[in-house]
Order: sequence, then C-alpha cells, then structure tokens
Amino acid sequence: MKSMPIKNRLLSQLRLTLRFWLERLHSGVVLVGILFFWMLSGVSFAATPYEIKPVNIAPDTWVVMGKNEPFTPENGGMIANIGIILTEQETLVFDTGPSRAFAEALSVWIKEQGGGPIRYVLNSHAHPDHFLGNQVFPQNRTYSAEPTQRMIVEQGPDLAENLYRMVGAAMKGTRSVAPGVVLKEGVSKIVLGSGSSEHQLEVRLLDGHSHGDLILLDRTTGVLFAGDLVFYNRALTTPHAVLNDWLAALDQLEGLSHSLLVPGHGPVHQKGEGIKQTRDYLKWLDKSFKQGAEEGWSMAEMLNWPLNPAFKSVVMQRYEFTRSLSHWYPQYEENALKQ
Amino acid sequence: MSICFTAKARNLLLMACLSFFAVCKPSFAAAQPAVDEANPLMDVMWDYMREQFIRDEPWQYSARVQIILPEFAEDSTQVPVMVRHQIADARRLILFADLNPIQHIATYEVDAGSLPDIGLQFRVQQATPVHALVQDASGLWHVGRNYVDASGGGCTAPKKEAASDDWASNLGQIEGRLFTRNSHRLKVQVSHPMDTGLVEGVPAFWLNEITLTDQSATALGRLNLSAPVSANPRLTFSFAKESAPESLEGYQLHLRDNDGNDFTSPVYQLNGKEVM
Repeated sequence: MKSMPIKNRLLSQLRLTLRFWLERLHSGVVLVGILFFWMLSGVSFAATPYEIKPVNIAPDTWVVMGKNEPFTPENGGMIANIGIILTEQETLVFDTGPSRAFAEALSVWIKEQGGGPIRYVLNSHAHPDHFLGNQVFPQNRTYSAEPTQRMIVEQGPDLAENLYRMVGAAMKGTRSVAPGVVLKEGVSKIVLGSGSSEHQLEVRLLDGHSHGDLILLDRTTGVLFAGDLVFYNRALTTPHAVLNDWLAALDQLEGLSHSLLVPGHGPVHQKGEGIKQTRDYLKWLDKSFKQGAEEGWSMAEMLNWPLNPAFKSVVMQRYEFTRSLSHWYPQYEENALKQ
Repeated sequence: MSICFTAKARNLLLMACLSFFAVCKPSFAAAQPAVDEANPLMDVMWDYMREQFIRDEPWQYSARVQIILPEFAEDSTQVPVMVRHQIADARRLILFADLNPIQHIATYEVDAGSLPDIGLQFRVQQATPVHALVQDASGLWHVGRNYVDASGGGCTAPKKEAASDDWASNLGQIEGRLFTRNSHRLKVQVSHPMDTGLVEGVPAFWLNEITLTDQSATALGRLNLSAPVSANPRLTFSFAKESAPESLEGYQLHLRDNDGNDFTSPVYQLNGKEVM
C-alpha cells in the first residue's frame, strides 16, 4: 500500500479536525441561540401580562380600564373595567378581574398606593372577566347578589376552564371562588373610610345583563359603577341577558343621580351616553332578530345581517352579534314559526 | 344576503396563496412541501372522508357551493350552517364535519325538482373543517369547504334535554311556516332530542329520514339527517325563485326517527295558516 505523503496526511487531518470543531461550533451557536431565545420568551411568558395602571377618575376613585378585545393570551383576559375606591382606612374593590395574577397585581398596587385593608369586594355579576380574581381576597368580605353566588358555585369551574383555554398562561393558579356574602334585595348602604375621605355608598341589585347585576353608586363623588348593565363604545354581550329586564334596569340607572358612569366595558363617561347607547343597541338587536325571523332568515344567514351605521363608534360588533345570535335568535325563530 | 365578507376575503386569500404556490412551485420545490393536488387545503381527514362518501367519483372544489358558518362556535351544541349552491342540475347534497366523532350531518337527494339551499344547526366536538358536496346530473361533485373554531364537547356533553324528561310529551311536534321574500322557503322546527348515543346512558335516538312532498303528494326530495344535528332541529329548505314552482303552498314533511316513530307536518300554506 502506497502511503500518502506526510504533508497531505497532515493537511487532511487538519481539515477533518477543523470541520469537526466547526460543526460543533455551529451547533453550539445554534444551541446558545435557542437557549437565549427561550430565556427571553420564557421571561415574557412567565411574568404576569398585567400592567395595572389604574386611572384616577374622582377623589379616591380609580379604574383599571379593560381592553376592548375578546379574551386573548396577550391581554390576559383583562377586558372588563375594574373599580377601586381607596382610602387610608379601608379599600373597596368593584369586581376582581379574570385571574389570580391580575388580582394579586391589583392588591400590590393598592398597598403601594397606601390604601387601607380591603374591606369590601363586590362582584357585579357571574361572568369570568369580573370575578375570577376572588380567591386573592377574603371570602367573607366578598359580596354579590344571590343568583350571582349560585351561578359561580354551579358554573364557576367551567367558566374558569374556558378562560384557561382562551387566555392560557396568565390564568395560572386561578380557581373559581364564590362570594361569601349574599346581599339582600334593594339598597344596601355602606360608609367607606372616615373624615375627609368618607364615602357614602349605595349597592343596588338589578338584573337583565345577568340574573343578578350589582351596581355601586358613590353618593359622595357621584360615580356610578354600572357593571355590565352598561357598555359604551364596545358591543354588549348577552350570554345570560334578558331583554326586558335589561331595559328596565337601564331606566332605573337613568333615574339615579350621578355625574360619572363607569361601564363594565368601554370608557368612563358623563351621565347618559352609555345608558342611551346600551338601550338603543339592545332595541336594535331585538328589532333585527324580529325582522330576520319574520322574513324567514336562517340562523346561519343572520351571521351576515347588516350592522347598524348608527353605532359606528361601537367596536367588536360583528363578534358580539355572532354571539348574541346564538343566545337569542332561536327564541325569535320559534316565536315566528308559532304564529 | 351576500356571503360574509370575511369568508369571502379568506377564500380570496386562500386562492391567492394557492395560486402563488402553484406558480412559484419550481423555485420553492426544495423548501416547501408540494401542494397535494387532491387536498390543497390540507384537511387531514379529506382523503379519507372523500373515500367514505363519494369513493372515487370525480370531484372539484367549487365556488358555486358555499357553506355559511360562523368563524367560531359560541355554543358547540348549536352551530348554525347553511349550504347554498348555484348548480342548476344538482341532484344530491352531502354535508359533513371532518373532525366530529360522527362526521355525517345531512344528505339531501332530489327526487323531483331542484336541490334547495339547506339550513340547520349541528353539534361540533372540536374545531373542524366542514365540507358540502353537491353532485350535478353528470355525476361530478362540486365541493364547498369552510371551517369553524370551537371549544368542543358538543357531541358528548350531556345536554339539558337529556336531563329533563318532558321531551317525550312533545316528541315530533312540528312548527313551520312558508316564506317568500327572496326565495320560496319552508322553515320548520321539530321537537326531538336528537341523542347522539355518545353520552353515557343515553341511547342514540334521532330523526333520520325526512321526505318533502308537494301539493300532489309527489316526493320532491329526501333529507337524511345524522345525530350531530342539534336537538329540536330547525330546518330551512330554500328554493331559488327561478327554479321553484310558484310557491311552496301545499308542501308537507314526512319524518321518521331511528326508533320508527313517524310524524307528519301540516300542509303549509303561504298565508301562514296550516291546512290539515
């Protein structure tokens, strides 16, 4: 066997070695890159997605503004407005948000802000964007209407599960906890804080958006927390809504003297606009479904029902129309067929 | 009643993508998997479903078969769907949801006259493609396709009807009405639990055979339903005005479920009154 010249052998050896290490280096770079990317993304996924930046709307009164979006992993389910009345002596929270992490972030903010212990936690109704932070607060200080408590007991775990599916990681550790205290019908009066920061509050129980809607009126500041009985510039939702009860509740809200209204979804505004828009929108939904059913539109065809240009400032209309169609249209169809 | 804009846009986009890949295939050949001519929409079950329903009969995707469907199922036990078509000599329609445990939803066979657009509600077990196959007189299948997102459980979730026992008292009760706005149509609601048999302890029990007859009791077509059709089915039969007789006056439905119960609807009249 003819041996290779020593120079060539050395060269080929060198080439092999070089290639060997280059390949190692290459996969190493890739590995480091992957690790780096993973760490970066890991950090952003692991941390809470919630930026709690409450807006001060009146003395001692703050609102975490929900995003006008469907539930997504990016918004962490933070789509509803959450109210806080914060005094040095004691603090009230109106709704607890979509998750444990949200409510924890809210608690931290309240402490940082110098708020007193949380004395009242109100659940406006039993929808998951409003009550799934309950577990962070004392159960015996959490109040709601009786139907709200019952629905959270019965359906809370399913509602939470559905939110896990839609929101994902931000829901970590969240479980459904029902309010510990049921308020009696009518008006409950509360005095929050004392001295210069005393707030005369009224809690009222209505229904229409759900079977037990709780609202809060601050007689001292004139702020009305209407929960989801009022939507403003964001299409309303109807999973448990009863049209005529809702319209009646809006009339009652209109009769309450207030200067600023905090809707369940959409911007805080002066008296009137949101109530009017919610009423007009409900009536338009009713009229559309009646007309569609009378003309024989199938449920699927109704998906393409023309939206009303009068509500051009209202976002998420097609999405919510599709949902309301599912909640309400079958009944309208049945009525039209029974004529 | 035009097709949903978003569905249209999506289909356009899809077509644009498909044609892009068709045109650019050579240069992409190495990087992109070739588009499967037989399954360009990459529906994982399509080849299998096609074989189940139409074997090796000729078919093509067609914009003349549209499936109106919501983008997402707000209630997975009541997903509204309507199949519309513009195929003059259509003889048969098959509607199915690829990823349901029971895929078949409905089949309509034309005995006389034309194939109506058909609307109903059905259950989905998970997000799924939905296919509507319309066969013309030459035997060619025109395929429409859509997709619905869902959180699932529609077929196997115990439903309210199963928990209550009052379904028996109004079983087979039929409410219906004729409409003549843009089309001649008959809409009916039939009280029936439509049990899939997939819920533990509740046997399969569903309306499976519906015959539509005209004034002279001639069978116009037969609609075969499968159990995924929602409880208390609301069915719409919509005939294009140019293809249908003057009106549907005198039309009637004859229904049978898998237990052999027979139900007959009243004879429908346009003024809304029913003549027995």
